[in-house]
Amino acid sequence: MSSKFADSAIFRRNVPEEKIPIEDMAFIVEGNSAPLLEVKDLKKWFRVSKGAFSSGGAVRALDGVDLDVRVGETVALVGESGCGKSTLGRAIVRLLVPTSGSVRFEGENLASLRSETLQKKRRDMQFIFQDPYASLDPRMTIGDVIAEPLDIHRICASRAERSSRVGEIMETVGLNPSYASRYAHELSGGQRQRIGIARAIALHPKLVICDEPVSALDVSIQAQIINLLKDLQTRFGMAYIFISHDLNVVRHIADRVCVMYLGKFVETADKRDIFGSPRHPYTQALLSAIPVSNPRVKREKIVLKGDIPSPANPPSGCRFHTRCPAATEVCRQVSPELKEVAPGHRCACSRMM
Amino acid sequence: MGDSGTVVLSVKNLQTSFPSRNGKARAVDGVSFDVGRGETLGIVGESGCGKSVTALSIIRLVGEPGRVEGGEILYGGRDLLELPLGEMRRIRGNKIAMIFQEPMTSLNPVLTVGAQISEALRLHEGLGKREAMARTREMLAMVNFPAPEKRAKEYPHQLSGGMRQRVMIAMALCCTPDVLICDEPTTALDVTIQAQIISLIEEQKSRTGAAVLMITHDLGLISEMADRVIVMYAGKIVEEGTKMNVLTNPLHPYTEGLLNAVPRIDRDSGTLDVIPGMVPNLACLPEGCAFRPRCSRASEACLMSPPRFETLGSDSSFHGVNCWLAESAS
Repeated sequence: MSSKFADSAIFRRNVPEEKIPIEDMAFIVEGNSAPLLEVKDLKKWFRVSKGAFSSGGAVRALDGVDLDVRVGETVALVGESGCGKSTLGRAIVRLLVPTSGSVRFEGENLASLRSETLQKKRRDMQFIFQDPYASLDPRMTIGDVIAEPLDIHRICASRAERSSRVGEIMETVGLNPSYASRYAHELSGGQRQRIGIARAIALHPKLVICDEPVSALDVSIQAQIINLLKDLQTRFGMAYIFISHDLNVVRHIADRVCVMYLGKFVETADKRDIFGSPRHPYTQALLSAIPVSNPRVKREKIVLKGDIPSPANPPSGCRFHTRCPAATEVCRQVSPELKEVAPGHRCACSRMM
Repeated sequence: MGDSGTVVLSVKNLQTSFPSRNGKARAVDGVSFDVGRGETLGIVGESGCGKSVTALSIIRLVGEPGRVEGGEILYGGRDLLELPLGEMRRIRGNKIAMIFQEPMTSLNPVLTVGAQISEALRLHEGLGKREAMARTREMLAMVNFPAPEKRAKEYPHQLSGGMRQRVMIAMALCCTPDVLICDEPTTALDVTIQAQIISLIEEQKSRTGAAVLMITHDLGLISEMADRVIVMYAGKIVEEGTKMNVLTNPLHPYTEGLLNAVPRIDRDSGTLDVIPGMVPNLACLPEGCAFRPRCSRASEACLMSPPRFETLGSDSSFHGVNCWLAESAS
């Protein structure tokens, strides 16, 4: 975890990267905190073909996103369904080919890599999917599911080594190794999600993208999986991109939080700043909408009007202005940039300027 | 609490079970509760604890091979379980209405939403086609549908999740029910839409004075909406009481575990407390207390026999718990 570095001034975003003296750059590399992943102006538009029911055009699922992830940290992407958070996760590992923009992993531009080299890089980037029922092949035994990445990357020399590795990995994620010969349908949701995690960490990746890993699980099981993810991170030093709509979970697991709305970041900051002093009206509304289980806590709720607009036809100016309680004429016309409002705290709102 | 104090619906010793390969699975096993006019009763628990089956038993929609085997459901002085099917149909969707979790699967995809809402009005209130359509538009406007005239002619797939749930609510409320059963009404929705739907349900409750049965796994929702709470585990009520009592002073280790397992926005913490293991198979429950294998405070007594329901506190701050620990303490 890089949290011990998080407070040193150099890691605050107010120091522009170009201005860091060369000696300090060396320190960053040594301190294992150079960006592991650098996403620049990433866009993913889905073409909609012209047909009987549509006039054609593009759905701008992802419309210019910058993101850095450092070694061992957890960055959460939050937002409502349709805001583009899953598209971003998939575009990073090139499960989706981005329309434009660049993704650099350990300094290498993934778009420029040939497919064999990309596959080697993928060893270090793994994905945990939301639905443990849909993401496991029902005809493969659990042992085979977990061994699949080992097979693809030809890690094990013999069958004996393969099965002992699988057993080890299963124990790491809290599964009984004797389940290796069973099938996914024989297990509960929580156990299936452990298989998904086992498969993702089998190759000791540097970055794991977790797409809503606990939202399909019951609360008591959810807590087990969250603790497991945190524990694995401390042991193996992986970075997580944690995609979730559940801010309670995000508060628990994330170091930094990026709030998305209609394909763009509206606010990014340290967890403490996002939860302690949210700046963007959307973040404020999201936070206030979460029910608190302590009946003694009384909070003022900001109830947003309407639904999230269609990304095929986003509103003019600030994309949030149609639902924003504080929108002005300016918001209808000018699209705000993501600007620093406090050290390490960026917000895209015209009223902040 | 039930402000006016009149009990609208009373469930007594409800037993519902499903046959399974390993014997009978008692999905609901001896559940009893009352709901008063204008009151919201929350039922919490994890999947498989029997909360949805309880709701379906009340409106007699438990699917084959499941069967309500015993107990009484008293509404308007009559036992719903004894009513002939025709009479039950007159009550269901009319006086006792239900909002389901997944609006996409519970709406008919080949009928317009207007047709689906007006069907209930024509069936239960005997309205003509035109009158029913007019009332439908009123109902859609009431649940904050933009452009109800136009939207009434649309099909469910043309609407967003929040809109579909509004259609469900309009449908459930169009005959002014006495009892509104909400089964996870916001689980499939985003938080901002959840907030809209909750305030809508609250608004309609205070307008019609309906009793609301709020079934959810979200303790936060319970805290915001309910007056009283029932916590279920493996088909039984393990704890019951006023919202304040149950959520701030939980007596059952399961309730306590649930509260601690949820990451909370109002509290920072390191690792989450975990309830080890998982919900048991209902067809072969552990001996004694069903929660024993997962309970950190289980003792000899818990193995011997299932605990009895202990009640504490007075009427206004009622608190009951189904645990040997509470018994030994009192």
